[in-house]
Amino acid sequence: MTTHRQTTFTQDILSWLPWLETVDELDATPEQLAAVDAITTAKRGREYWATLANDPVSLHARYGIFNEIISGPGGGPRSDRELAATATSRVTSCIYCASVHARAYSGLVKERETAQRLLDEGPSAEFGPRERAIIDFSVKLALRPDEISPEDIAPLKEAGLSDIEIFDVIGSSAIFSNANRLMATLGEARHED
Amino acid sequence: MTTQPDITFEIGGFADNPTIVALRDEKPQIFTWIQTYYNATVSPEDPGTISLAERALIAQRAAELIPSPVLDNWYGALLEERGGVADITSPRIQALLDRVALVNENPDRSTKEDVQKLRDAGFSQQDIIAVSQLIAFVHYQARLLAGLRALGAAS
Repeated sequence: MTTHRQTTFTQDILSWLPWLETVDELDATPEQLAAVDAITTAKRGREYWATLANDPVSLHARYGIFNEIISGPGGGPRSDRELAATATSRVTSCIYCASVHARAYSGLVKERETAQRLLDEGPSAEFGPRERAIIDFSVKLALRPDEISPEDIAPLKEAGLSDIEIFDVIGSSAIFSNANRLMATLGEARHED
Repeated sequence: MTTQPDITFEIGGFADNPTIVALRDEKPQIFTWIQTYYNATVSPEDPGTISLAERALIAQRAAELIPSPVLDNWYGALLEERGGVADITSPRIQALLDRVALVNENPDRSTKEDVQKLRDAGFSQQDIIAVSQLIAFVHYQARLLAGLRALGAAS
């Protein structure tokens, strides 16, 4: 399979090519391999975890918190978290992260247009009230976290989000400021030819 | 409800905030994982070849650039506690601080050559991942604290 570098936002399935060797390519320690195997047994997507597994202790912690934030029980709908993830990835310009989470959002809400509009036009496009509130907050938290104030919480409450649902949006946007930086600075998004 | 250390409550000063206390009661695992991630990046039992003082410096500089005043202060104090970093102008430290700035400002414009610069400065693959995770952790932590502080004050 040949691929080319993906430089625009898309909901297509992409792959991620690391700029470092993965533990699968190196003389890995049992601890490094176990850290990856604990996360995935699938081949697709393994490169990312197998890259981070060069430092297995931080990988274990990072995977645990990411999984709890995005897939953990309780709180608001999963689609809110995926939307916050997509909006953050869009403005921090992580093409790979945006593709994965736009696709996840589209699957949950059973339509592709909202996420596609966010990818194509960015956060200033038109959205429904709940989506608008989540996107605006996520983008500001990503780009100007020092300016976040109670006034930025008000639109989320007006859109009907409870405290725990707002907590989920904060967590998702925050962990994607983390994920975007890991993925965009350690490798690149690729598309099948 | 918890006697375990909670770095988020300690830095954020949320113990008397009923909104944030209620969030932790509802999703305690998130706060436990934050502590685990903090320990793994800022204070690992085995810091390897990135010293604890260097880790505090990296975190402090990331917080300064984001900017996150509360974390800038926290990691600045931690750096002092850990004895500081002797020669901040050494090529090794400059390579680390350049990386902090790149990841903060232009993550989307970083390249494979930027990773190579770290290798050229003598960092191993494990070092590069450890440093990347530490910087990325501070980016998460800064936004979590900013969001929680706003939410706690809004209720």
